[in-house]
Amino acid sequence: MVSSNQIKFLLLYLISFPALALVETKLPLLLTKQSIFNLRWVSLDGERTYYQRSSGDLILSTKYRVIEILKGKEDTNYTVHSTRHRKAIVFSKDENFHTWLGIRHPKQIYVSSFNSEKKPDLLGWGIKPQLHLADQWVSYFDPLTRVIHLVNTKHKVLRQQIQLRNTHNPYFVPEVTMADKDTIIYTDINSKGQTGVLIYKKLLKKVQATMKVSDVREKIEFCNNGLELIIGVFGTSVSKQGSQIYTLPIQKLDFKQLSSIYKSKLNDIGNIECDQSERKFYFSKNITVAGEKQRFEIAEIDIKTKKVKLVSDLEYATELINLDGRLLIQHRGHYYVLKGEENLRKDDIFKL
Amino acid sequence: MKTFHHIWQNLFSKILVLLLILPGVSFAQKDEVPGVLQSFEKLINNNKTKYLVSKQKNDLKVESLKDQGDFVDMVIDPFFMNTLLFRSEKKFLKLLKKDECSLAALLHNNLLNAFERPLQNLLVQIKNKNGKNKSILIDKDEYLEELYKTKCSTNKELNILYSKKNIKKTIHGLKFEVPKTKVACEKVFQKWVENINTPYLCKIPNTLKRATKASKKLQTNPEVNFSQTRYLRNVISQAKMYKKEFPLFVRSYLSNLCDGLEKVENFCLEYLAEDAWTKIINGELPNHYLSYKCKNFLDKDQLLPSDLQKCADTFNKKPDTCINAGSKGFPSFFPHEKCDRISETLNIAGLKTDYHDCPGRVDNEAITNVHRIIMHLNPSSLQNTPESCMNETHQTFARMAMNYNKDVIWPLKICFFNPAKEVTSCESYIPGNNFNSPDSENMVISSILKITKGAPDKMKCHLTSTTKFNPLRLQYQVGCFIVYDPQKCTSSFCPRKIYWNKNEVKGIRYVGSPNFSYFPTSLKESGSSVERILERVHKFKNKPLKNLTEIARFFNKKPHNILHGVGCIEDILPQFYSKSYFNGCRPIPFILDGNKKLNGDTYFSVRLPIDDIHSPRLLNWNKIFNAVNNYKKIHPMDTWTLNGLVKSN
Repeated sequence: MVSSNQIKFLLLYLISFPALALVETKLPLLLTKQSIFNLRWVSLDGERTYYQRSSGDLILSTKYRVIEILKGKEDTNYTVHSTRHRKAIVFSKDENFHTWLGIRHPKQIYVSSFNSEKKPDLLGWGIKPQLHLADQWVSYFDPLTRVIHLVNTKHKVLRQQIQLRNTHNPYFVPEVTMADKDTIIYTDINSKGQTGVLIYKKLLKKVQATMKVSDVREKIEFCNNGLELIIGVFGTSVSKQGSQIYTLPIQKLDFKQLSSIYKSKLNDIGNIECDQSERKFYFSKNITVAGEKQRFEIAEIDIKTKKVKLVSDLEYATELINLDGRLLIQHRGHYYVLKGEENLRKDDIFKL
Repeated sequence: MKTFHHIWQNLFSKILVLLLILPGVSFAQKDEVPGVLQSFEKLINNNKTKYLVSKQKNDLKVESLKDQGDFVDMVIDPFFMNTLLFRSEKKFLKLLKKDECSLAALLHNNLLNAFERPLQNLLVQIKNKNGKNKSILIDKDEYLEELYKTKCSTNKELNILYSKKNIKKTIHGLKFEVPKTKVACEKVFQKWVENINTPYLCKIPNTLKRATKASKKLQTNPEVNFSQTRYLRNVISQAKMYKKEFPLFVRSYLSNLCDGLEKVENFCLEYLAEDAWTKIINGELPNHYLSYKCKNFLDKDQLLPSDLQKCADTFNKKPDTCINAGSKGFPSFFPHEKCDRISETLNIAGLKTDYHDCPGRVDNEAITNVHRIIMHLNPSSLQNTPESCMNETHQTFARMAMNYNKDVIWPLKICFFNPAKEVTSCESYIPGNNFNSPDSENMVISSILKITKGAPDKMKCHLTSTTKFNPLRLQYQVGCFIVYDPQKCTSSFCPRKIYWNKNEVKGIRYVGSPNFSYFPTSLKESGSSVERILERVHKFKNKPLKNLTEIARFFNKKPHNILHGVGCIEDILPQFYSKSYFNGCRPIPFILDGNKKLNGDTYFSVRLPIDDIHSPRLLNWNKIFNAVNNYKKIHPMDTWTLNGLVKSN
């Protein structure tokens, strides 16, 4: 028999830890046997899993084997990034993750070939590592020197650096993508504080300004699906600048030919994520009704039909994470699966 | 036209009241007394002419009542009375009542004007025993003294209460009620209009205004005569006393009351205004919420009260101003919120922010956060210049760390080869310029140069930017300069060059980076976390707060209670920072210093250590909860990192 005091205690406990209360949603939870929060990357087929240990190591678990990829101090934090091309994989290692709380805190950036089981190569220090051009290039940003670094994943001596001009916002992190090996597209902030899109031509060593926002409170985001460059312009403050998303054939890069694919009077959060298998992309859309609680859901846009569809029902979904093609939303300490297998319990790491 | 008609009617009602009420005024009506049909302009001209003619005709000189023999009655000359009514500010006429005493109070407090300023003499009519009338010019004070002999004894008492000796005590005993609703405001206003103290209180804002004009007059026109100069200096010194004795709240309240006397709406507009900028001007919110922003915006080191008003007006009328302005030289996240949003947040904020820091120059955000917490709980005076701000932020943190355990917590060191000892020595330093602190970077380099280069004992190095440093200039040719590029300089990354008498000094290395746990990450090292050091050095207690009920209760307990926490920036500002990676998170500390309900949601005043201290954000609970909860999931001890801070007993 459960006493009334016990019920009271249970209720009090549930009230005190609201994280335990899950939201009502049709989206399935990502299920794992052990703590999901040690995982850093899991392939869609579940064959390769990277996870970190509190001892400071990054471990690869594959085909019933466990391989130490990187070693660090206790509580070292890692991020792992790859693309559908599966040629290379990028790691960031932060030994002071809990002891240097800073947006600009640079981490060690490593790269290795996708199937390698060896220790990856250290490229430098920075944040936001990304792979480009079918994993041939990796970029990262050093926020202290405000330099974008581009390194060839095969031939590490092939490097390129782009110095940002931004002096307005010490916490600005640029968007970076590559149209081809000689053309780098990135964002910067001009002397008036406006964010703009610039193209750096490696051969000509020239920077060309293409577009800029009209209001300093607008941001620009990129997503490159290999065919199109998807460019989002989103208002960021409570004042309404609205949102607009454009597409541009990546091979032509003629910004006069920008094609508008979506427009909203509200400030969406954005965080555009390209679906690497289909010509679709996702972003966090503002669906707040005036005078009511703020609401954001993930929206899907089909580039061919320009149709916008809300695909989440969490009331507050601000971000989509692409984990090797599996699309996930992190919400109140849980991961919900938008696309892909939700049951990771069969991954071999958990059989250890 | 309508307004004019209104004024016209009001003035004439006052005249009629005075003509009917003031005893004796009616006995003197031999000459034409202005009628309702006369135009306002004509009336004024008529009054002036009458006054001047009367003055000429009688060859008026200031006389004394003592020389007038026995007289049975004395009244202010009706034409002079009209002059007073037309020449004085309409707002003060609102205080005239159906007796001479209210007029006497206005005269006593210099709230009425005639042709001469300041009003020193009055034209009065005296009636002798034979019933004959005579107009004479007498000193205002003599008139008042004569009046007090027979009437207005309360005025005499009030004069004592508001004398230089007693005014502070008298005002301290008054209640300056701040109305919250329209009805309450109208009641408060009516009470003040009827209050016999009001003319005495209005002397304060009136003198403050006169003092501003007097200062300008003395500056621009040094050839004013002696008596005028004495008068102006007297007004200035009186205003100084008022400023010294009465807090901004009282001064603002009285200024608003006395300026708004004409219409209840004028008075209430200020109190029913919801914007923080007006509340700051009224003294309802701390002055420093606006002053630092305003100084920066106007590019002034010192602000006049009119400057604050100017800023408040600009921030209200052009809310976009705050997006760019207010933090020049103090780098922080850009763009800031709009002025109206900042104002909304300041209305609920409780953090004491009487300083200006520069988050962009400090790259471990925990240092900025701790600096803000300590400045809230143990405020101290800072220089607040773009040159000193980085050092000041580090100083606060470093002092705390050094008091606890210098080597464990404060790892920034400058290393050099010590030729005397023939070893490499390292000295702890606090980044930035501060000549008063031997631990500051410039002073540590100075002492190193004394050891390695034999620099003189009195020599002090100066930290200077590449934009200022010019070795061709004489001032940079002798002495020691630590030169850095402000665009590329934070506390842990700051390429510098050291020059001693024009020559670059080599062999001095900066080592270490400021790493420390904010909340304990392991049981073993829990003692050296910021949370624990704050508890031990500053005697603060941390109380984990996990839901909105607990947080609301904590804020309600004390008006200046604050929470501090750590969460993922991607959840706090998702519109600016995306996660991109599975279990990605960039932890950032923050302070919550107020809460409010809005659109069915709970919002907080949030001080992010990347934001300008005077531009807080209004963020909802979803953002804070997600940020803390998602960080908790990856925290080594699975800690809920949102605590209320209270001072230990």
